[in-house]
Amino acid sequence: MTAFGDAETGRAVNRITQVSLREVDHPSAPADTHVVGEVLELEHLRGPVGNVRAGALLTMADTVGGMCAGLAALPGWVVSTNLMLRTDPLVHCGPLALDARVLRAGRKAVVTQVQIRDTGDEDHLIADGVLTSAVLVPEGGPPDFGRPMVLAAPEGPDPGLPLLEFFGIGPHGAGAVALEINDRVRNPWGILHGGATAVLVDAAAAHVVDGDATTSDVVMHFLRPGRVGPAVARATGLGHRPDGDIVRVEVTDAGAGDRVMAIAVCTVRRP
Amino acid sequence: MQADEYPPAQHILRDLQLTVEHRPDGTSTGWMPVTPFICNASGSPRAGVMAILVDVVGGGLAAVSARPDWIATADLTLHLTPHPVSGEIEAVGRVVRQGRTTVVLEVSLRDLGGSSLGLATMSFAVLPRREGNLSVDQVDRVNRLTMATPGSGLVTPFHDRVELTVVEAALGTIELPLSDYVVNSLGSIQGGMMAAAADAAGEQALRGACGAPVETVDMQITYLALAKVGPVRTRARVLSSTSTFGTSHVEIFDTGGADRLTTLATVVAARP
Repeated sequence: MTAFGDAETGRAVNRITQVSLREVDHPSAPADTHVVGEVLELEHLRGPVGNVRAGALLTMADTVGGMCAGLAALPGWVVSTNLMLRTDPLVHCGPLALDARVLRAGRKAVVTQVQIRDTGDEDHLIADGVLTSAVLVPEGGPPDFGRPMVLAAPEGPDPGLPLLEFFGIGPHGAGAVALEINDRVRNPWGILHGGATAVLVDAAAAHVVDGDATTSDVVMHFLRPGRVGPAVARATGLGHRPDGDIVRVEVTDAGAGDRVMAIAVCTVRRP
Repeated sequence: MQADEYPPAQHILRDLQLTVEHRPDGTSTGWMPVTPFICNASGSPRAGVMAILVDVVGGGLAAVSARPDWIATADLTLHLTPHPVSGEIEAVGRVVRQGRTTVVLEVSLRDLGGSSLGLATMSFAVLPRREGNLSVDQVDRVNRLTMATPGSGLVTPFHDRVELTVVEAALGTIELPLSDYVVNSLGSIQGGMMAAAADAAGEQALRGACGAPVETVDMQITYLALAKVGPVRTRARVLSSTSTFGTSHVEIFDTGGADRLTTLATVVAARP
């Protein structure tokens, strides 16, 4: 069951990142689709060393990149299949400016390039990467945002909740972290939001290295939808390098026979 | 091109002396002998050469998995935990997702002592099979293929043999010609070779930024289009750097193909 006819259902994840989105003009072709965004409040998204957590940046990238890909895929819509993001784990000032452009728009997949800049730090590029999305046909048709699309940041009762509390992420047995799959973390397709999965991966990767560690680079493959929950992330260290620890994370849907939902490889810097 | 015609007699895959074994359980393993010609100054194998091994193991595994359809590589990521290696590198691939439109797999890299050299992931788009795609058969039994032939093997450094040239080191501009020696079965530059070009470009750009020689440890590569004409030329931009490691963004253009952007890469390189 999808919820594309309803502007609110399936978009609760955006209450934590508070991303506002705007399409830059009406594109003459799908490949020209260009979406920008803005995030004003960062305090509740910061990690232990003051930077915006990689999980939050991944969620923003998934949001702006997914919207750009979706508009390029009309009359279809998209689900994220692969997100690769490099982040610069500095102390971020904000506000953040988001930018997504289409690299390739095909019948089955759309590839977008996503960049996030810190406008409070001379537009420093703090995250950039590539989001690949699969094109699907939603039951009842795609969402109708009007063109050029404009979407304000949602109002919510708890935009200031710390990131991990918002998602309800906590320990789950030895070495694992988990979150429940409920309406707060579902996307319009009715499955676990890619951003929620990303925050879980970030938490698991940092957890296995050091509680105060900072995830910098992340490669995520979204393999199967998360429907039942809890979603459980287990991280395994692969080795150490000058730029950090290399960690593999596997996310499973415990309520669906431990089906593997996502795999990720992260670089994690110790404090 | 038929299966028995690829790779041709003079080809980088033959000179790297790769051996690949595909098994009916949906796993594949590849082996590559280590010589000084494929290694960095530190003695660890070059990331670009490791990417060629990963591409061959992963591409073969994905092609078997997607039968009767064909596949196109969408992305390749490589996360290395490098150290000097002698003997052989072993690459073990397994499919983690087989869908109607995509195949995703992981390839673990290790030395013959079992010590990890890193982990790679690859995604493939599943496409309708066309005339000219390599045939994939004998999948119901263990199928081992050795690409080495009598007399094959590198006798010069890898970059020299593939004619990879540095045009402007500080800008990470390198050039790689398209020749029969580096093509895939479609006649375009092989995906692993594109990764090798990104590896070289990133290292060149980051060497200046870091103030010392660095070696590639991470690559995230997105394939947008085939490089059909060549030569391909890179453009690199340093995103961040310290005295010990840095990150660069690399674009690869097909200069003979109207300068089409074919490949994007993020390259992390570190002092050994």
